[in-house]
Amino acid sequence: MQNNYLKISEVIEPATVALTMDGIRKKEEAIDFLADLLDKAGHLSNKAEYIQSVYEREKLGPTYMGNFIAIPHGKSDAVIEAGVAFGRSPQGFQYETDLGGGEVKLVFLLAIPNRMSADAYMAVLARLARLLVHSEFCDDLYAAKGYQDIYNAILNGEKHLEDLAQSKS
Amino acid sequence: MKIVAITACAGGIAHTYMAAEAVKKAARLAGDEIKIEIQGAMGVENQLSQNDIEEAELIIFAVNIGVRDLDRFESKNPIVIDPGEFVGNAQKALEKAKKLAASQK
Repeated sequence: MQNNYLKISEVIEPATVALTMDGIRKKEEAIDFLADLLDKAGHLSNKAEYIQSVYEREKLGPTYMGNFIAIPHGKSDAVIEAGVAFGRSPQGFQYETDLGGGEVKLVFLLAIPNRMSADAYMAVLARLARLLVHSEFCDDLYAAKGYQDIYNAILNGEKHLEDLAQSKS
Repeated sequence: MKIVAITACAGGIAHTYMAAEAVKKAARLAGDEIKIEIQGAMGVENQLSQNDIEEAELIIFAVNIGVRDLDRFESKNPIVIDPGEFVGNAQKALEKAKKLAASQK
């Protein structure tokens, strides 16, 4: 179904993964911190403009997904190449949105170039959302000791995602 | 048990897919056969056929907004459960749907 679209495992990279986001106490700090990783890895032409697109998206609906997970995202001309940043906060922090929020320990921040089609963009988000439903996947993220563990968890998770249409026991 | 489900959510695209994945997972754990139609921002994915709907022993609407093409379910008795319940505890939500369906027979 979504096999033609971008995979998280294809865009995640060591430079945009932070296993301990120490000192992060709220959503804004986490978004800034992760956007900084994307910026330093060369994904952004203008960090401030990209962050603005993330907050514009935040107004449209909650990106807090429950279960200590948030997936903020922005689509912008300020994104050069699609990227995903992942941050883990062992102690957790408050992630508030206009439409509710809660404590978050795992954050994926997506940066999508404006030229990417809406369908492809949605498909990436959908894939990530589906991955995050599986507690095994989240367990792997919590247990990861280094980048390779994160990468393997994503690769494994994506392998196990299959067509939703039919599933027999 | 043959189950069909529709997921749709006011809270954004990602939640719709999370609910779909959660429903699928719960059905698999319970040994049920499931088909899921996703009514999301990209339009309708995996549209259920009339045959799927006729054959289903249980129809779940994991939605908190209106279902598109509701007339397909005219003679049926869908069970409506908030998608958030599936994302929170899919197995419990599926059991609840089964119980509700049984009590309406």
